[in-house]
Amino acid sequence: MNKKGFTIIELVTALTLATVIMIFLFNLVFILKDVYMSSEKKATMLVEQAAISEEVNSFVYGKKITSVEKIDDNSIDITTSDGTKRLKITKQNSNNRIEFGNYLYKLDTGVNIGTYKICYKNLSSVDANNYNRILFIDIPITYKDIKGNYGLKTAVPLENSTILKGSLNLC
Amino acid sequence: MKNIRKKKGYMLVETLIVSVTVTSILIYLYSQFTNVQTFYNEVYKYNNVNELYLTGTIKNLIISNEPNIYEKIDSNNFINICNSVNNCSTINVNSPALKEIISHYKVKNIILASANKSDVIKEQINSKSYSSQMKEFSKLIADQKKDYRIIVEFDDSGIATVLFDK
Repeated sequence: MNKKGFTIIELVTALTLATVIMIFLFNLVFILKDVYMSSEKKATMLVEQAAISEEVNSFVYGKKITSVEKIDDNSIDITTSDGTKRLKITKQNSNNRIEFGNYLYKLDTGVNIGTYKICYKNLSSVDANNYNRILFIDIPITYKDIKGNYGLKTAVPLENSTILKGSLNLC
Repeated sequence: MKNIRKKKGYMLVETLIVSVTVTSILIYLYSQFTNVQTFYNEVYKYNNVNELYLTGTIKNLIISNEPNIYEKIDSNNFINICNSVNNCSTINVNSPALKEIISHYKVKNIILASANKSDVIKEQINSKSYSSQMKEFSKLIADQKKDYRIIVEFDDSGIATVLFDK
């Protein structure tokens, strides 16, 4: 009897095990596919974020800011001892971009600029190094299929000698 | 008859062994894969360029407003500038600029520690009610040749650390 083939129990057990393994493996494959698809875009976004952040922060970090001028709602000029650079944000459906000095960050399709803030806060008292205001620059950048903010955020302490021009917004 | 009975009995044991082996392998694979996936998702939140610069600014403000900070770190090897863990609404440094930055970016913890005391940092973080992200991050900290280290945890689970000398 045994030599005729498998018993029902053997077949059911084998099929059940095979099904469990197949479901598990398919699940892994789908997760890996998602990781692969998102990682390339995520890496690109992180590199772009690092580049624009480095451009802006290396210009203002630890420097004496001489003046900050609001040109319009989308752009400001920041002047340090190294010169003046303009931060300009352009929000158009197919032409989202951020410019800082000569650096241009052109956003791909599907990458969005959120509600950005370029504003300052007055301090309750004068800090060491004569800081009495802080300039905040927050430009959120998101991509439809990936969680997280890949934008720019920085805080620049301003001395009381820093000149603010063009009615910069209070936060 | 005896042979048939023996083979039927053997089938049950065989099934059990195969089932247990396969289940163990699947559980092992799943746990390993979950670890990799979690790490992959978390590691992007560590040492982001924006947060590295913010951490640098926070460090500069602490040093310029608290001249005795180096002595405090040297004597304790680990201090949290925030008055309570995971809540930085009040701080031990008298700096209006620092308070504004903490409030604006909803900073949760600012830790200053000796850079060559990674074991102390890990012990302190793991023995107190720091977030799981912070505990995971602490595993990556190793001794360094610089004098000090600052670790800042932001509200969005981003964590950045910067090394500096006196």
